[in-house]
Amino acid sequence: MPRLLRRGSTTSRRSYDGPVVVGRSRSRIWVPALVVGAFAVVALVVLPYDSPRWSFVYLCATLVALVVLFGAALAMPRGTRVVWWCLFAFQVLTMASQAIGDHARKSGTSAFPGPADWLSLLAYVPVLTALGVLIHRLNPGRDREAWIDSSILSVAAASVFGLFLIVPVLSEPGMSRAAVAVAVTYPVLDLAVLASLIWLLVGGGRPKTTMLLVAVSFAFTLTADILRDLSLVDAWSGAPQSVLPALRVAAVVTMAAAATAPGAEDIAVPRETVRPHATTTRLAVLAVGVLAVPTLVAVRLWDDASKLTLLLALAAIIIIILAVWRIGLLVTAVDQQRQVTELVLDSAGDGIVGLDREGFVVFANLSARRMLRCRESDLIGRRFHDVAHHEYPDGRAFPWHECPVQQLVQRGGEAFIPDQVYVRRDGTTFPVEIIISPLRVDGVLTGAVQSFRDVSERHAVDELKRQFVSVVSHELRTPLTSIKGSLQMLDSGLVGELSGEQAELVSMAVSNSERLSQLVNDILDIERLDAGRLPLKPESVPPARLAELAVTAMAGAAGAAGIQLVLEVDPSATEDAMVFADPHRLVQVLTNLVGNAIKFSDRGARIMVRVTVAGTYAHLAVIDHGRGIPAEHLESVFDRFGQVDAGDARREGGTGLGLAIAREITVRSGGEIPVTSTIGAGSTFTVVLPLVDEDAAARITPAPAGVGAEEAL
Amino acid sequence: MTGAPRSIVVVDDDEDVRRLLVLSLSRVGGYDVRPVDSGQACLAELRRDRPDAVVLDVMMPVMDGPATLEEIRIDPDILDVPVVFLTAGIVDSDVERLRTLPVSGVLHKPFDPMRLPAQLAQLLGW
Repeated sequence: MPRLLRRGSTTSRRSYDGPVVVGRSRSRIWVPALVVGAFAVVALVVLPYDSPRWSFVYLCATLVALVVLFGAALAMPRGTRVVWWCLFAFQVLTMASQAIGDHARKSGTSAFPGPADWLSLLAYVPVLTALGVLIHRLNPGRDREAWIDSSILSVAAASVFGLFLIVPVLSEPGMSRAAVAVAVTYPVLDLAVLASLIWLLVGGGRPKTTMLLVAVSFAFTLTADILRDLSLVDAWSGAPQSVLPALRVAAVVTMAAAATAPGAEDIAVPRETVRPHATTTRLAVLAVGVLAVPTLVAVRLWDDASKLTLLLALAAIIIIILAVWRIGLLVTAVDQQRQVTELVLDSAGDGIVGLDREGFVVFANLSARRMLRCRESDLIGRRFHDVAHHEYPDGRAFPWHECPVQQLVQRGGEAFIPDQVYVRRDGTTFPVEIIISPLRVDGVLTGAVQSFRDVSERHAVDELKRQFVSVVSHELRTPLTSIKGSLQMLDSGLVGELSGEQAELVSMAVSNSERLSQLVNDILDIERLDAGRLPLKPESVPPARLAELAVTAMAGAAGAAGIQLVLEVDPSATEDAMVFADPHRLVQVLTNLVGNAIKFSDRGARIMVRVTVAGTYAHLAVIDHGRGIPAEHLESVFDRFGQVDAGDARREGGTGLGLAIAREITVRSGGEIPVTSTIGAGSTFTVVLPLVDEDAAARITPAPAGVGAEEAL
Repeated sequence: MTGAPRSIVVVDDDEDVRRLLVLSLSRVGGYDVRPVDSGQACLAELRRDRPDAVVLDVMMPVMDGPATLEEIRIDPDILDVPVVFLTAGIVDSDVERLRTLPVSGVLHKPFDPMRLPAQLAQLLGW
């Protein structure tokens, strides 16, 4: 059975082979990372740049950091590997572009924008990919909102920073528009990434240390890119350029430290709990982002604007503040509503799981998580079938494409599915019943709600009942065997002739012991029909054959009652007209009907069993010429103990259960028993069964899952 | 049937049922019937004198029908004696399980003593 491996802080980290030895203990990774970080800071602040010796030190530090980052990315679990590979790719591309830039500078061909600058731009492709993965993973089910929020912040930060601070500085004579655009792009992208990271962090993104270090790394890159831009402007060229390589080294070293920090492998793993305050904090951060642009507009207008323009700018700021406040209230209200809804769903005793159209979990209530012993993160975003429904009751693997839930979810069907087995996170299983209902938004199918109930206890009760029936059956039948057998032997005269009155009394005792034993059978049958434990073993059988068997079985009884029992098979009932039914049980139905007919017919009367085929149905009619059934009782004859007149049971020796059982069996075979009757002229009970069409036969055949459950009882 | 009547060992823990089986099979069927009251006694009787068939009750204390059958089927001297189960059970899965065992058939209680010998003979192919 494919157990799901959970990548969490509890899983020990895989060590890897490589030039840098990273042990299993986190403190041993953490300490060297700190040392390298400290070195980066010292290098940045203290060390001079323009010496070959320090260039060499920088080079070594960069290489070591890149190798550490590479090794860490290599050892990441699958869920977060892509993020770390992207960040690694970013660092490599940045370093490469820096090297090319240095080379160009030394050879005196430092036109801007040159190859190095284009390579630098390319480096943002993996970064934005990594950011996308993080935003998507850390905001399960809400990634569209997350993208919008993140974009607001990025655009705000970028426009304030780029348009108001960098562009004016760069826009001096000698700079082409293209050069300005490229130069502005790096810091703007850095800032956008930084803003999104901070936003993820305040929104509950964990592990905190790792995300903080990644953010710091981008802060270094941002600073370096600003300094580089400034160096393009004559008025600023000079001192800042010398710290540029140091900043780049600091960025890559910090990134390596982030990748080796404790919990770095969990960077893209969503947390179980979404803290309510995160919403507030996020809104505050968003408000700052939204307000930044108009504030700066206002500040810039201050110099040369008319009072009216200034007032308008202020009005805009106030309106935006009010709008953000309003949105905040709205979000809080929606959040409270969501909490109420979740509380309601969590309080339900049944497991409730929301699925999308591919069967992936978008929601799981508390009961579902408790029954499956799962955390929310074990379910959300995974296919429910793969997490918990991947075994048949007999332990065989249950592929998704065989799962009945699959079709229902994809087609929007609704169904009750009994006798299934779910697998808990620890590998143990429990029996469940599932109800699937489609989920439609504005008439469009978006998924399904799957609610399920643990039926272990009910199965235990069913098993007790089964044992009870078995014991009762044995205990009732053993004395009945002796009583009935003894009476039958007496009655046969084999052990001595009986006088007239003796024979009459014994005969009375025989017929009543007969009735008692029939009653025991009927009660047990009814009990098993109710419990769904009277398994029908349907097969294709000609209806005439069923009638023949019943007539043969009842010939003796009819003869004894002086009644002529006739079988008539209509030519329409050909040999290849088959019904799909359990022959044993259907013969039981027919003998019961014939038995009834005999009971209510007078001596010398005639009873006919007629088999016809009409359309796609076979009709097995039992026709008597007895006294008939009043119209108002036609339906109640099938009720339990529902004989037409209370005296009948005693007089005619029935149990009152026979017809109820007969109808139940017929209905479960896909048929019905209509009755027509005329007072004084007789009654006709017709067993109507659908003829076999091969597809239908395949549908009625119990699925393997169902059979397994039946046998497990 | 020629010569001596066929012999049948009947096994049932209920004394009355046992008596009825003897009456039915000897008086109606004309067989030589040897009744025993438990699985252990059945095995002893079979080893003492091999019968032509065994009618074996299913639900018995200590050693039930299937357990007795198992012992019979591993004893080289008696392993091919035909056995017919006699059960008061009604639960289909139980009865189905009995049919899968190496027996000639399953008869049900309550039985009609006048017809039992014929039913038994049919199952045994006599």
